[in-house]
Amino acid sequence: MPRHEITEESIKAMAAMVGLEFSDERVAELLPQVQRAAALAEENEALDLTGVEPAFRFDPERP
Amino acid sequence: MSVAELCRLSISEAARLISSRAVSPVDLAQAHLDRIEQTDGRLNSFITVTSDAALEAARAAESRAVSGSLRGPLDGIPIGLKDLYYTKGVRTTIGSKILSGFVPDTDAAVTERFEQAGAVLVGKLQMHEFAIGPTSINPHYGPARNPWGLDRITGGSSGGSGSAVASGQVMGALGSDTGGSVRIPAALCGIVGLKPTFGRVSRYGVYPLSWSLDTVGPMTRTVGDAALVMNVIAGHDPRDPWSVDRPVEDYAEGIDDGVAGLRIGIPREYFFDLLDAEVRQAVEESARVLERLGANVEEVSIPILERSLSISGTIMLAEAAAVHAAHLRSRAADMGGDVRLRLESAALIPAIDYVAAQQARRLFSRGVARVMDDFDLLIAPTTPICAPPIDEKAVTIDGATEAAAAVLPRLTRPFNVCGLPTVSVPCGFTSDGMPIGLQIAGRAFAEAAALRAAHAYEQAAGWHERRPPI
Repeated sequence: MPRHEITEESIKAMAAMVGLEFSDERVAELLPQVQRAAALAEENEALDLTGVEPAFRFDPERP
Repeated sequence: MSVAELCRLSISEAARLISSRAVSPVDLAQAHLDRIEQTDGRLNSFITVTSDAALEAARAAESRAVSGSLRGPLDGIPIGLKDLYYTKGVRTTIGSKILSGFVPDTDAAVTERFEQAGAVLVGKLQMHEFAIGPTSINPHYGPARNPWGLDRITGGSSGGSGSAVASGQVMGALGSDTGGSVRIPAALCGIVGLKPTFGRVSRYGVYPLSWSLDTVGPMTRTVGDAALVMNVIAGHDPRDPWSVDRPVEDYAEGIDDGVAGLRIGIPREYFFDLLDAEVRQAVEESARVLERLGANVEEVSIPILERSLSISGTIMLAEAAAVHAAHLRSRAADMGGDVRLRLESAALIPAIDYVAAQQARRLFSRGVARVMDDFDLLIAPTTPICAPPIDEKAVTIDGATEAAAAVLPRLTRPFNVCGLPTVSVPCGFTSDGMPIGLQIAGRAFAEAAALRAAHAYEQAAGWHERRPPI
């Protein structure tokens, strides 16, 4: 399913969920940063991660 | 010996002179404190200088030298710690205003180990605020300045460590490396920096940036000195849940064994996509030097390197936002602008994106590990550019303009994602006299092999003999 577009309204909603509140001016400053973070996450989703355990316990010798 | 001569010694040279009683630890400590006094108004390497405690520790080292009970090669050696290592009774700011009055009541594991080894702590070093950035331009304590050009950044986040070691204010320092924060300032300041294998050195008492990526590493003027520091700080510590319980090598033993017969891979994609021409030339010449020393250098393809930034960026930022959640809710106005912007946007990263990044990290690491089955080492440039001017926020490479803060960690992050040990060693200078760094990465826990190759290169190339003009 494609991601929803990141908008100033969605930033306000996400911020409220983690206990943060931003002014309209601040939300406008954050918008490109949050869009960039979402774009990075989409790059990871493009990999086939089926059945791959997340590396919460990470051993560089036996990844 | 004069102050200048004492402050140019390597750790191994100073250790020999202390052991033979040709140099007094007290004179050595005083010389470095004098050097700090003479230069730190220009360099801004230090947040806190601990003169009295340093001289007291030096006097204890002197007593051991007299009684023939020195504790090893770091006994009596002046060192500095990035200001995120807990030091009992000594202010530890993490480069922030928020924690500007924080005085830990305990030592970090590595602080303890330095003390047990007899090292002389002369102070706490400048850094990017909360280690969240690669420039060490700090709004609360001023920018750390590069000894090779005072108008240039040191790189970061361990920028004070880079400038202090390069300028002879200390003989060695510790940085921390989550996305390149040891190797970037090492490269930009013309010194050696080692990011050990994830889990090799305890992070107990190190203020976190990102729990699943943070590492602790030495910054020194020679590769041999980095090995000596590793011999003191490496090892298992149950207080760090990620610390690995396996035997520690003697990193100094065999460091002269050379690279003959080693297979060294040079990944062309990603590392050479966006690269200053002088950096490219220096790294290609280093590969030729390693070949002349007997290594087999071959090009290698690791396509998943392209995911380095998406994986490390998502993990690092999400974890950093969790570290600083309380600060974001109550003290955000006390953060510098760049750090606040990064953390506030990071707090909005969804959990599923974080988990997907950790899944991708496992795929990435498997991809690199498969390549390492066929190679002993990988080599690559440390940074795409040399140190830019402090007031230049953007850099242009091959006609593409990007923020310096985005460009600097591009080539170091892959080795944080896969956790492999990686050393940055000076590999040349640009036409305007700024240092360039070469990364040498080894297999997991093969720090000794990476250091051996770096030492062989260093001795052949001789860049470590140059000193900054300050």
